[in-house]
Amino acid sequence: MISVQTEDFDLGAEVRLLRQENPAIGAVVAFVGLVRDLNDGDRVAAMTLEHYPGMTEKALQQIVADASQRWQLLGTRVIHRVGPLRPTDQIVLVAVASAHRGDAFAACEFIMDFLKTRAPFWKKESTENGERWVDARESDESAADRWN
Amino acid sequence: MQCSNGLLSIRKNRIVVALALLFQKYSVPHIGVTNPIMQCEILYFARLRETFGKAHESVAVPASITSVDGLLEWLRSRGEPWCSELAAGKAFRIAVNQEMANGSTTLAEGCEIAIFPPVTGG
Repeated sequence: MISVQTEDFDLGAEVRLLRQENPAIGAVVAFVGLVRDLNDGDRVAAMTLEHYPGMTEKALQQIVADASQRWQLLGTRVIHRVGPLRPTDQIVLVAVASAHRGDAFAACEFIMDFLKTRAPFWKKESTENGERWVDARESDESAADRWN
Repeated sequence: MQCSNGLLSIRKNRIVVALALLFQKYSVPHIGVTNPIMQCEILYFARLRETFGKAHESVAVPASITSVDGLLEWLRSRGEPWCSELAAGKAFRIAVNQEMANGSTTLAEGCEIAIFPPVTGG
């Protein structure tokens, strides 16, 4: 299941929902992305996340579908927050359930790598020098390329 | 391509579109007649939304424009800031009907095109 929302999320509750007491699940891997207070040497006071409603959900669905083709998965949960956020806030959750840990570890990393390079989200930071759009990183693109 | 003030190009574009509209209005309706203009919605996001000063616009472009590359050339011909921001070598991405696209992606009447900086979510 995929959600794009302004509200925060509860990791424990989301993992419980994902598992649904399914005894075939032997592994759950969950990644949580957080807002840091430092980026490119500047203090970050706040951040706003913009997205492309409609395309965002489709892009995330496609990434999860691609992961499900590659690995044996028994459930996935993706939550991405939008709107204003502050340092220490949770931004993103990717949780994957599978029978064995290998599939869950790999699929979780795959989904995050493609989310960072294919899903239409943009971060704008508020620093002591004013507001600025965050630039995409070359390292994110190469992280996604290694799955090809 | 050099960036000019775009006034001449805009005038040229406007004449083409005006002629196309006249043609459409007064030509005899007939199945199989090619529509001389194409209406599309363009969406802008993040930094480009701010630079262009708008989140979206409806455009009527000559029907001879059939690909993303053709549309980008048409947008650049309007002058600044499109000419500089959408110049070759600038980092931006295009989606057509909410799917990532490239220069050769074909466009059709009523399509939704989005132009935005490389994404930075997660």
